[in-house]
Amino acid sequence: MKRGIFLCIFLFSVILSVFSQSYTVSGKVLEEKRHTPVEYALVSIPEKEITVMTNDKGNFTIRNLPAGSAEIVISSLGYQKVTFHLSIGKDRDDLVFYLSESSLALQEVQVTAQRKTEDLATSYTIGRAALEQMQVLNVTEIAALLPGGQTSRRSNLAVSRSSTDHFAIRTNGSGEMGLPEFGTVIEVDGVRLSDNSLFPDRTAELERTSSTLRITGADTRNIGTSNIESIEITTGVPSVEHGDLSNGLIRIHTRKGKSPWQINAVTKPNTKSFSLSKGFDLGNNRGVLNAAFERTKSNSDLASPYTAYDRNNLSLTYSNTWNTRKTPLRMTFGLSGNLGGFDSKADPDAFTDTYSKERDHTIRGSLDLDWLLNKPWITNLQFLSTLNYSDQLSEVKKNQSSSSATAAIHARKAGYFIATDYDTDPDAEIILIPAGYWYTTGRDDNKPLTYTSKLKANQAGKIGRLNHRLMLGIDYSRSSNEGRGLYYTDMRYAPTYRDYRYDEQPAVHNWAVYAEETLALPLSGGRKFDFSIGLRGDMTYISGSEYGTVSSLSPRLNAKYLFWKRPESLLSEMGLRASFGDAVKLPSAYILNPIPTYTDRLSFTPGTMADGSVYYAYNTMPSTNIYNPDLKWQRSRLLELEWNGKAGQVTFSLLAYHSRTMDPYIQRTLYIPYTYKQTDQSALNNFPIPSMNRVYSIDRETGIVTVSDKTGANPDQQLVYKEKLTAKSNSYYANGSAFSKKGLEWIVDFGQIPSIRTSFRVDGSYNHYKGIEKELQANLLTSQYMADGNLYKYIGFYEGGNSVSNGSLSKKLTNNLSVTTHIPAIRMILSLRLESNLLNYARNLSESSFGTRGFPIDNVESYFPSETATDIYAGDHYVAVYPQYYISLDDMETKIPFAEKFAWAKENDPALFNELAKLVLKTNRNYYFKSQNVSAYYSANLSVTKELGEYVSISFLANNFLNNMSKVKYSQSGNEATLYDNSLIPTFYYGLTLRIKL
Amino acid sequence: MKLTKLLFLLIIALLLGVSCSDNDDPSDYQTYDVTVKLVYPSDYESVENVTVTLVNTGNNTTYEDSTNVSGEATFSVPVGIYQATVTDKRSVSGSSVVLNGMANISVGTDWVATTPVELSLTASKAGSVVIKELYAGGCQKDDGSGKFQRDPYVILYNNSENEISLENMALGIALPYGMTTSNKYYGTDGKLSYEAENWIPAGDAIWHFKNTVSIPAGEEIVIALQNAVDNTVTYSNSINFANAEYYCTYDVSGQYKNTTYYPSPSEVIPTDHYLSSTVYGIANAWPLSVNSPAFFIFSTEGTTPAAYAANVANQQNYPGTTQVVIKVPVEWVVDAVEVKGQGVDGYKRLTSTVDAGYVTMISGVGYSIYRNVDREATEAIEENSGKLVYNYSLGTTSEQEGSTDPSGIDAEASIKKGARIVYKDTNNSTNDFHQRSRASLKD
Repeated sequence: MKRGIFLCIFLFSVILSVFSQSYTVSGKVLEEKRHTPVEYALVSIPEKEITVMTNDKGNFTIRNLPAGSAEIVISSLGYQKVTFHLSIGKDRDDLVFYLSESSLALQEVQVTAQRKTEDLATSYTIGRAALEQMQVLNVTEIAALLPGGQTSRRSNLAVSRSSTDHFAIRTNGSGEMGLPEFGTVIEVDGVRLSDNSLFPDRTAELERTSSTLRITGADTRNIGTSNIESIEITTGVPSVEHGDLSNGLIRIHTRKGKSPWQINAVTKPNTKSFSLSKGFDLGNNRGVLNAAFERTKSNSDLASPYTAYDRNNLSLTYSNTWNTRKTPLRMTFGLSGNLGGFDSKADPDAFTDTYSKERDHTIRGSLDLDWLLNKPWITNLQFLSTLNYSDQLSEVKKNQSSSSATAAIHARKAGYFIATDYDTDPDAEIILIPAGYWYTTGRDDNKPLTYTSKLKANQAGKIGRLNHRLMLGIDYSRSSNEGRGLYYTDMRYAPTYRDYRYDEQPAVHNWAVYAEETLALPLSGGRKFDFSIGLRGDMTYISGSEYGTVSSLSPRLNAKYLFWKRPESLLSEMGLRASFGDAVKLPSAYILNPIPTYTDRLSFTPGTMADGSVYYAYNTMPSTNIYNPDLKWQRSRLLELEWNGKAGQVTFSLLAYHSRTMDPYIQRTLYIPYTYKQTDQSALNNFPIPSMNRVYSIDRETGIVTVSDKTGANPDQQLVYKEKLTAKSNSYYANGSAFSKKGLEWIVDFGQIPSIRTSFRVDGSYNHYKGIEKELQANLLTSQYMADGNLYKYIGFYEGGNSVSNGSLSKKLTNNLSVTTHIPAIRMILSLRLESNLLNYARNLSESSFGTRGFPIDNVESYFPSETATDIYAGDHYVAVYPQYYISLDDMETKIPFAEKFAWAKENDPALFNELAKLVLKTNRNYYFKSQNVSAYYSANLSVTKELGEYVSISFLANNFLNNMSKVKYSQSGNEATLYDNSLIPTFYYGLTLRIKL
Repeated sequence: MKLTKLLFLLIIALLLGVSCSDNDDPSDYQTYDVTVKLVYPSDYESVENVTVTLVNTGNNTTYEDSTNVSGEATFSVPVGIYQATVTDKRSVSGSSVVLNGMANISVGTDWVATTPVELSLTASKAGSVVIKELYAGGCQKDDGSGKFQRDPYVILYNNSENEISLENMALGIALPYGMTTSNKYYGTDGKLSYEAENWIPAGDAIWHFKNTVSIPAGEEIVIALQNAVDNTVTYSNSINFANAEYYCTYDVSGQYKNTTYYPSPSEVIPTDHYLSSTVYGIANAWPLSVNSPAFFIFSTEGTTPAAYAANVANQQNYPGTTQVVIKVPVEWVVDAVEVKGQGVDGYKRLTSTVDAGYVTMISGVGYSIYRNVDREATEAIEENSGKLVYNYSLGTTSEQEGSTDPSGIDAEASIKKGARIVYKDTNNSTNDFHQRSRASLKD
């Protein structure tokens, strides 16, 4: 039905367009001072999707323009972008546009995020000047420029991948459901930094520390910041051409066009960066080649030059236009790469030859063809093909030692296996590492590869006064991982780990078709109505996976209405904008196929011999991969309403949003009971065969241990065993309960007060998050034992998981004041930004669909509800939570209501009571459910940029330059803490950049 | 021949002489039955075979008899004034208890044998099992890559004069496992919250003996707390636990199955020397601190350690965490040692009745915490003369916060010469322990 409507609109508009009259406009673009031609400048009419490029004489031609007014935007690298209004009623060939070189000598320079008012969706642009003023090291830092954004605390890049910063838009911090960072996507010149085929970082496993695998967004440290021209951030409902996202889109544009040599040097306490770039004119209309190189080295510790992150970026972009006179074909071919990563190797404090390093190599390629056909039935045809390949190999070299032989388990099948010397069987399921000293080199080889292709056609036209643009497109993307997964270089000494090859996991293919109609209707009195409606259909196909093909539809709608534009009145402009849309985040390969886990139970080990040699036999039980036929793709629905306008020179925008995430991805566990045999050392007491003559064997299937005599003097003898009941746990992804976020964002730009050449801007945000997980989830204490010496056998089913709280509520109100003083005469811009956090509120929640989940207890030792207190949120009692019911491993079918049985057991079965008590969850503080409100706090950043003539400029910044040491109060505990070295605000930090143009 | 006759006559005369003297006073050979009944303090039961001694104060004639089931001993004695004494030595909760009683009995010709003479006993402690040494800090690895700290052990020593049974004895460690200033048991009043309630926390698990083990007076047992193997195979500075006499904390059939802490023990250690764990926490190994443990031994009364620990009524969470402790009544604690890390500030975990002080340790260099000698008591033992070795040189006073044994007696060297050492036991680690520059098992 919807597709039918689009087809009708398309045919109707084509017919109308064919019969309307059209004109040709041509002209030239000149440099303002010297009146020299500007080549490779882009001349575009955005609402018609027309872009042409000037030739070496600065000339351009646009054909087939309908009568009426049009907005022409002219931009070129190194020049100030300009916009002109043009009335078209006849052919014109006399147009001359002047561009001025970007510099602080210009009247208008923006060092804040600019709201893109021409867009129907909520989006912001951050330009070169703002990036230079901030001295951005990692692009995630620009989130601070969004309304209410706060400066990142991180002062260097030298951290492991698992703890680096990620983009997360409209969140109040960690602990929110729906993997907000995973839903925020980043594109560099159209190349998506997809995480769909990235497996969670297993470096922690290499370090042999326990850690849960976390699904996050892309690591942006490999994106050189010196070559970025602008960044666009869409926080609202994006056009349907963008899919596979649920929480914002960040598009990074690198520098393209002719430019002089540009040399930058940045010094910050922990970081040094050097970069070089130039846009080469290949002459004779052969196009422009942009080359950029950046080297950045960031150390984690000021006092030590070791443990560093390195970035070596090389970027080459070729752009040119052919057939400029008739149907120009504009091509941009980009290739960029990074060599670098995190390395602790050189640290002399570490033991010789031990290190941890993470490669962050990447290569990104894109081919963008934009063919301006400018026919009534088609305006342009765009083809974009991208490739993104990363090598994110982590390597950890460790020094190990042991005073007795140790078992390293590599079994991937179920059964009983014996630890065997590597020399006897290098492929043994369990390798016995002899006592002594050795090194291990472990690697986690993650090589995500994403390929995308898109073909998009635009048809723009005019029906009477109505401007319309129809976009039709088709997308294909394929993401896979070419990495080997976790492995060790020498199996002789590899510790317990399992091979899981990422390159053997199926690729995720996604096809999408989309159509979007955009209408613009100018009305009388400066009124204007803009509207776009689009629909995107995604089809995900995973080869060789039970998930097969899954499809989803995302409708999106944006509208804005300009009530008036009356320059003479005080409220000269007022408009309303509304957006509604669905966005679907495709699951990652890891969500579809979590890395299998293994349960290894020690089955038999006799005593260690004098030389340290020992015999170990384990029972291994692998988790099985569970196909969840009910898994739905996570979807978020966003509704936005914005009121904006202009009063005098003050522009303002107030935006309200509400987003609801349906079917968020959550990890769940299924338990399957099994028994295994355990033979303990006492089975060998008074054994007739002397230990030196014993040969042990264990039956792979039954687990029965047999001892033979090497000398043959004694017959074989089976050892006595015990059977133990336990369960294997299989984790899989499912959909959790829907949750919502809502908030307000505002920007009030007071403009510049000419007398002091200072502009003021206030921006802020209020975010409200509430998420409660109510799905029943099973939990077994797999490593705990019961008083009778058996493994713990009761599985509790908790609403929303085995945590005392099953959700949280958070509210955050931030407000920033930016004061910018710009003095063109002395080519200087100074900005001061005061970031204030007025409300930072969080509360743990425990809510149930069945009634109550959790009750106050009189003291921490109690297991039963208090007779006096009833409110868990009063914050003066410990709180206990019961499972809804439990089952036992020896009877998985009978669901026993917990509360009743527990009360019964207290009186009648003390042993059962002691065991069931382990299923009761309790808060560890009596104020756990009390709200946590951090009193208001602030920090201030100062930055200044000064141009020394035409060719040199210097920027200086100081974050938290007042080094705020005042105190904040935490309402939950009543404690106070100083802001010095507090994670709430950035640490006092500074940086200096020198830029030279040649 | 003459000589033979003479000798014969002499024997006859002697025999006659004795007989004559017996017949001089009839009352002298009239005996009376005297029954002595031992009356124990209320906590103690009567037992068989306790020796009761009766001494005639007039002629020092001594009579001995053993008690029957009801605690009675019966004598046949002539008239006289007697002193009845009894000493019953018991091993109670890891301590040696001496029950002494004394009474005077006057046996006259009018003695009526029907009523037993009651002999009241009073109990007094006479030394106990003490922690002779706690080695927990580890040593240096041979390849220079740092510390090997998975070789801790404890030596329990019977400091009394009687054999002591370790029935219901358990090993515990107090929380927080390392001494720290962020001890959550301290309230705003600066006091340990459990002090007033007379218990101390034992974190995560306790270890107890499988069979009833007894330590004879002046003897000891070594318990390997991790890696009960010959660690010197790889780490020459470490300890060789491959010794059939040693015990070890090893119970991989339960929750503590982390083989990096608990590899299969040396085959020479008998399986009945494996201590059992009762785990109520969530860890997979006993979290003994390598820097500053608060280690104690206790003996349950009226219940077994396993039953006491498994009962949730005795459990509690360490405030603000998921770590579980059991509440060990202070009166059950037999001995304790509180260790502070060198250069580390921290609050005491053991209450003053258990251990009023602390001893400082430097970890990772092979140092151990060793008990000081009670010089006076040791020198008072006569058999020690000539066996005591002085000029003790293994103290660590040259180190910052180091210590030595002020008695100057080299306990280990003296023991090797056959001396019987009595260690200081004042329930104050500052007085009772010092940091020894070498683990005694490396001597």
